[in-house]
Amino acid sequence: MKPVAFKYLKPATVEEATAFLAEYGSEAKILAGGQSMMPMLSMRIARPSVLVDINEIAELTYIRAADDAVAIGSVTRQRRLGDDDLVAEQVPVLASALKCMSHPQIQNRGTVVGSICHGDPAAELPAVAIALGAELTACSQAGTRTIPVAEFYRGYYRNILEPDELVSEVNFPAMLPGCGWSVVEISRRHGDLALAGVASLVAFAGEEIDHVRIACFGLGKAAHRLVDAESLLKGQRTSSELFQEVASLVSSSVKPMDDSHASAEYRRALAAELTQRSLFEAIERAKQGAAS
Amino acid sequence: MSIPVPFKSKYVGQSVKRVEDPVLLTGRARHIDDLEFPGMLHVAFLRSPHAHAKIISFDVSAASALPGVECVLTGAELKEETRPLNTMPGIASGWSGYAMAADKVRYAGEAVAAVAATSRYIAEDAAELIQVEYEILDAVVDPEQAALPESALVYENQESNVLFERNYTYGEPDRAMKEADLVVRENYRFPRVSGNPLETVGVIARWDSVADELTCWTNTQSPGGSIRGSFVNPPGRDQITAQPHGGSFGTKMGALLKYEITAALLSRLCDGRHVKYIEDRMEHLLASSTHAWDRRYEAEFGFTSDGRCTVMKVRLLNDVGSSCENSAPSMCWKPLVMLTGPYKVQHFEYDMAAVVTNKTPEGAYRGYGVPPHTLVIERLMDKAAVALGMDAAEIRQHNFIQPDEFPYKTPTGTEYDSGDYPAVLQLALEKANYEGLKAEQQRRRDEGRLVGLSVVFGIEPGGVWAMTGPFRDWLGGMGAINPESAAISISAEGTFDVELFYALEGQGQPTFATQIIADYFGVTMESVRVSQSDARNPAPSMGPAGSRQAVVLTFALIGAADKLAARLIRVASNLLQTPADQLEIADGSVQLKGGQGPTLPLGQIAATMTFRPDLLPDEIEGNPQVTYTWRANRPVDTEGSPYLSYANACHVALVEVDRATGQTSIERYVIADDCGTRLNPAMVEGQVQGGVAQGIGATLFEEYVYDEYGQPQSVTFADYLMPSIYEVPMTEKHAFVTPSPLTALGVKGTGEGAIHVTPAAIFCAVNDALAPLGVELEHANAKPERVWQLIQQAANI
Ligand SMILES: Cc1cc2nc3c(=O)[nH]c(=O)nc-3n(C[C@H](O)[C@H](O)[C@H](O)COP(=O)(O)OP(=O)(O)OC[C@H]3O[C@@H](n4cnc5c(N)ncnc54)[C@H](O)[C@@H]3O)c2cc1C
Repeated sequence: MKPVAFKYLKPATVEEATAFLAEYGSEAKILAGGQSMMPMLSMRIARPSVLVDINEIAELTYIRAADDAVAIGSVTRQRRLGDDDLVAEQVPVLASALKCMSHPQIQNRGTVVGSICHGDPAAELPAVAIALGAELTACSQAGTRTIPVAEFYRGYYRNILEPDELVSEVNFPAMLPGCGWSVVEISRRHGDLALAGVASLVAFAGEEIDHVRIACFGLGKAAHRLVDAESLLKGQRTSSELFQEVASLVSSSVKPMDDSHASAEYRRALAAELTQRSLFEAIERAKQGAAS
Repeated sequence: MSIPVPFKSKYVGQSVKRVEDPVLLTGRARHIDDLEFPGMLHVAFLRSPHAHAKIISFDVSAASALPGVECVLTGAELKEETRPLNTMPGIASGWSGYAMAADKVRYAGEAVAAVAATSRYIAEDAAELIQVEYEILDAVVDPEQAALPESALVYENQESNVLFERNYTYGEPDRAMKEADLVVRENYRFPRVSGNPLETVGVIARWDSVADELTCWTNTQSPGGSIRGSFVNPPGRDQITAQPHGGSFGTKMGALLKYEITAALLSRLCDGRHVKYIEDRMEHLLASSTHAWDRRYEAEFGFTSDGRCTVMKVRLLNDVGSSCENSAPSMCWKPLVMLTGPYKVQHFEYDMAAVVTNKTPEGAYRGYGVPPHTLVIERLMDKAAVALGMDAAEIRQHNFIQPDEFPYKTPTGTEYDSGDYPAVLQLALEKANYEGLKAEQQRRRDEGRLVGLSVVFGIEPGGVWAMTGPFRDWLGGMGAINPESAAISISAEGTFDVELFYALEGQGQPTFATQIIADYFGVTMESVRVSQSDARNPAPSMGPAGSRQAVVLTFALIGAADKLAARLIRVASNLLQTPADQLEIADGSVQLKGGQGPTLPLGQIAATMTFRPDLLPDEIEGNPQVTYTWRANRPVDTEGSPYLSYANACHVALVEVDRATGQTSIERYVIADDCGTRLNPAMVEGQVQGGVAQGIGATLFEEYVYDEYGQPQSVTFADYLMPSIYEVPMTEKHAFVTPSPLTALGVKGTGEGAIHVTPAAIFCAVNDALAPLGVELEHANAKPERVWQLIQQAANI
């Protein structure tokens, strides 16, 4: 359990970091909080010859208000999602996601952006980011571009970043006023990656569902939106029949995998159950929000 | 609580803080990986990716050429220099390989070559460069298939994969079964699990050819061993020393041998440089020879119509993995000492078979085979209760050995020392508000929820004093004593130094040793210091195993204290010109019995012995230090009991199973237990809580899974799920005390009791939750998907 030898670089600025990435290209890997990277290095699953440690880039540690959004720099630790006022006010769903995730020790090191970049199919933050319509800012020496998280993944643990690109920020649009939310999952133990999970956002116009976003995790090669389920709900009044219909649609449309923790069949059953639980909770919150 | 102690007890019986904790918690204990030696080399292993394969060839040229590599040793080379790993004395030889695989690999993860290099990093780089050509063989994975004649053989020199078969029959089980009014039967599986201490195993070897001496620093749990016999050209002498270790649970017994042998040989090949190997966590999960209790059971119990159990038949098939390289398969025998549990049953058949398969070898685990056996007994008691319309508590009360029947001789010849099972059960029921829980369960069941309640009972053999009775079988008919020693010295300042002869492991023996010695001599705990030797020059000791230290070390400590006290009084008698029989020790002094007259501080007596022996007659030994080795005064070669004390406990658990997901949550967990005198109640509770955690682990989370090719699926902590503080409820613990008449101070063992009973408590509760659905879980690991599948099955009935 010792990594193969690598060159260790510790840039102090984004400019320096992108210069290193330009120089070493696909030989290099970025090290953020290390909570996934260090085990991969130790198990020799990742064997980069250059490691670019971005932890000392001070300019990347922030949570700040942007236009109708909350912008989070890529060295910001996951733990901040649980204690930041701006997050609590504008994107409270992120704090709910954190409650399902790992343990304080890991959240104190792991970064928000690192979790999204790593793209574990069972991770909470990618799904929540997709439900929120979040965007990443990727930068390289050639310039910067914006990538919606929904378009970021290309299959199992793969994303569309170029080898010379670094994600500097994730931008979470503020939730609509009165929007209810929910992140639910089934994991074997507290803090484990999920066997299956569903994140949802629901806002009403009167009695009808006006805005709905559902994304799932642990139920395919990457987190993804459940657009068909959303269409069934949009414009409808809530009813348990409707939820059941949505749940069975989700259960039959997701493509989960088999592993030693759970079969695909079981995960599908969880998907149906979690869809319902998530919708109930989000609607409950939306109604409470409307009442208060 | 009154303690039957021969001294005024100020500390004994109190929950004083553990004296060893400051050192452990501030990281100052010197664990094996803390040791550094100049020029020390580090070992990495190349491990087989295949479960079963012939080794055709090795090519180590690239690995040897890597800068920093000092030696590459293949399994084939090791075989020339060593003997096969020890097998169990009572079993024919030829059921184990060498410290590394030479001609063929028998489990995925088995070491095939080792590298010694200037750093572990380089050693791992080099291990990757070793080329091994394999010819893949059919893997033997399923233990039932393994026993069939057509199965591939794990050992070609054997006729089959059946390691041993034994049948122990007591009374007339066949007749009793025929005559039974009710017969309940079921098949069970227990998951393959293991201990996972914070610290894995490690060894540093130095084979000094000039001095003709091999030294191994290890974190072994069993002190005083020798590995000379493992080598074709052995060193003149060897020393195995033990560092303090970060927990063991049995993993630091036999599993170390293969690493000691390999590291030793590498040291010899590297001109006597120190060679260190520290197992990493993946290696521990994959290949540590510590997996335990991969068991299948067929069990059948007979009852009278009024709920009395008359006969038990238990058939065990134990998958020992690829070898019996340590004596772990003897875990099949331990249930013989508590075969009928707390129940009075005269007819019993215990039929056991062990097979080898292409999986990681079995190793010792806390409880040594009793937990699955208890689970089988308790679950069948529940089944009978349901069939007879009795309550789970009632059927147990009905079958208990009664308090006036102790000492109670079980069918196997074991003698239970003492206890009051009905009272312990009653205490648990009262504290749990059992009737209230039953009402709550019914209320929620009426809402369609799956709520389970269990009341289970277990026996904990403790204080293993000898390999006798049923254990003699696997020792080839021989008995053997398991002694324990303690040394005490007193300084001129009146402070005491106590030495124990095994390494610090964490259970708390230094604390109760301090309590006992302080009370014995009437001094403060601060004036007693306990150290644990590294077993370099040991007095006889077996170390911690078999719930024994509270029992045997208490004997050893009091024996040593008596010996020292007699000597101090003898000196005092001389100095005070008073007959010895009129003197006693109290409050750190020798005084006249009854407290009148002059007193002589113990320190002053020690000072006289040390600095003014001229004042003493010649026949008084002037050494204020004694060593005492305790051994039970009992015949070894008998059918008797290998254990002195039989603690017992009742666990009551309330669980709810989520219908949609199959997940079990534990809502209440109440324990009443009787481990005799509690030397330190907080430490007893610590042992209990830890055992509960391991029991919950085995029944809800932990499981070493292999696929059909024998590929291990649980090689990281993301896959082998240890329960954490979130999954293990803080249990409610209640004490009932029946002092053992056979032990010093009336103590009974307490290290294993909770892991014995917890699996049964969880398993029975989950099954009770599923009862309204008419389905039953046979696999003792209630993994959510397994339970969910049963729920689906019920929906489709
Ligand atoms: C015990 C344990 C439990 C866990 N439980 C959970 C859980 O329940 N849910 C969950 O979601 N996660 C869980 N994790 C994973 C954890 O959240 C990781 O922290 C996260 O996946 C990665 O974030 P990081 O900052 O540590 O990134 P690193 O581990 O440093 O990097 C991860 C990957 O992302 C890349 N990367 C990181 N930052 C950037 C960047 N700015 N630009 C481009 N690429 C980048 C790296 O190159 C690497 O490939 C757990 C981890 C552990 C050890």
